[in-house]
Amino acid sequence: MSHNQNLTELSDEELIKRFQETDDLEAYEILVRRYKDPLMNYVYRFVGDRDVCTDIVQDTMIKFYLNKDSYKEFAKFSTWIYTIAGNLAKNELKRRKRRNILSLSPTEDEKQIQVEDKSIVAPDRAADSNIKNDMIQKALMKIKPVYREMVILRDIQGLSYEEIAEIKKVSLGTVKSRINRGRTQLQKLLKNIYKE
Amino acid sequence: MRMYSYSDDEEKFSKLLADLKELPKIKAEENFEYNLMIRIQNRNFGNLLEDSKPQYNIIKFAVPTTLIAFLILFIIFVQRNNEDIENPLMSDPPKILENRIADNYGANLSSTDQLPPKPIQEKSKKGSLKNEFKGVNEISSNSELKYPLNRNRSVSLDDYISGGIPRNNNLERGSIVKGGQEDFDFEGFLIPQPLDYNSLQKYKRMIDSIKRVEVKRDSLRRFR
Repeated sequence: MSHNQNLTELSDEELIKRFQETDDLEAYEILVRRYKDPLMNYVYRFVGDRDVCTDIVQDTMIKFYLNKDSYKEFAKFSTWIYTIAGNLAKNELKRRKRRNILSLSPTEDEKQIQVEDKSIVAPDRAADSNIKNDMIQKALMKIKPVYREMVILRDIQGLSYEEIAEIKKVSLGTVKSRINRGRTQLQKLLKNIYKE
Repeated sequence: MRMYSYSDDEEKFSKLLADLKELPKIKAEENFEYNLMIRIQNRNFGNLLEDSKPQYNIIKFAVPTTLIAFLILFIIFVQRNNEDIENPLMSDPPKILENRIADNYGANLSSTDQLPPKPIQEKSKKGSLKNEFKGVNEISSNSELKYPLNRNRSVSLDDYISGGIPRNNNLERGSIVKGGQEDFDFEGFLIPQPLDYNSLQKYKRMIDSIKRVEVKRDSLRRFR
């Protein structure tokens, strides 16, 4: 019990080091527990599909398990795991794009956006809030993926510009300009909500 | 000059940013870890193991290879077809036999050593005795059938000997420079030579004697 308690107190980097050195599955499980929800939120906002999002996050965790040795100490664990999840999400988008070209299935815009966690909002305002959230999610899906991922990481996940630059392997200036363009596009798409 | 600041943007998008932060958080299913551990224990990694390795798919190579092969074959096919088509600029022009015979005939008149043109001689060998002793005019008329002689360039031997018809303009000889199927070696322009009256007389005497022999032969036949 005390051993488990000690592990939970360890930082992400310490836990992965432990997992790398001793193959300690408990350390791995703690990291999974810490990152499953942020990754789910990130991937869902990027892909817009709950089921696909679960599969991507599962795959991210399995990649982490299989390629634990490719993680280097000098990097932050969060940036490393976000990079894996982001790459898998992008691959999924590409696959879907190919499928959409070949099939006659409804496009992303026509699909119903699934939004959860309604309990936070009061019942009388829940309907309005849900509509707004749906609109924001739809607008997010309409902006370019390069801008979308940056906006999600910064404005929804709350990561710093430096962290995003490390995850996306681009310069700080690129991150800032992409976020700015993403926000501008988003605001344009949601002009009915944000009337100046 | 005012520096551009991204913090200004945050103010510009304040409402949007607030809404983005307030978006409901998506959470993983309760059995997420359980499912993950089962997958790990069963080593059910799907194609994740393959993804990490670079893929050398045969189809990826087969498509461009086939395209290149088709292109090469197409080029070879087109080149072959081009070889079959005769380039008119490279081919020899058709034989202009008539001019050559006519000119040879005229040229031979000047020397006593040279015999009448070869084709006529060969034909006369194959033919009967009668053909052998045909008159010159007759031979020329026969050869005219086979090789239509250019009248402008041909010469009537009798008239030529008697000096009745003067020789045609030397400028007309230009067309003998290239003619016939055989390669013609240009040996320079033909310089007109003075007529050898004696040799012409000699030929006339020979022909007359042949005619006389022929007449005698016919009379002998009739007598028999």
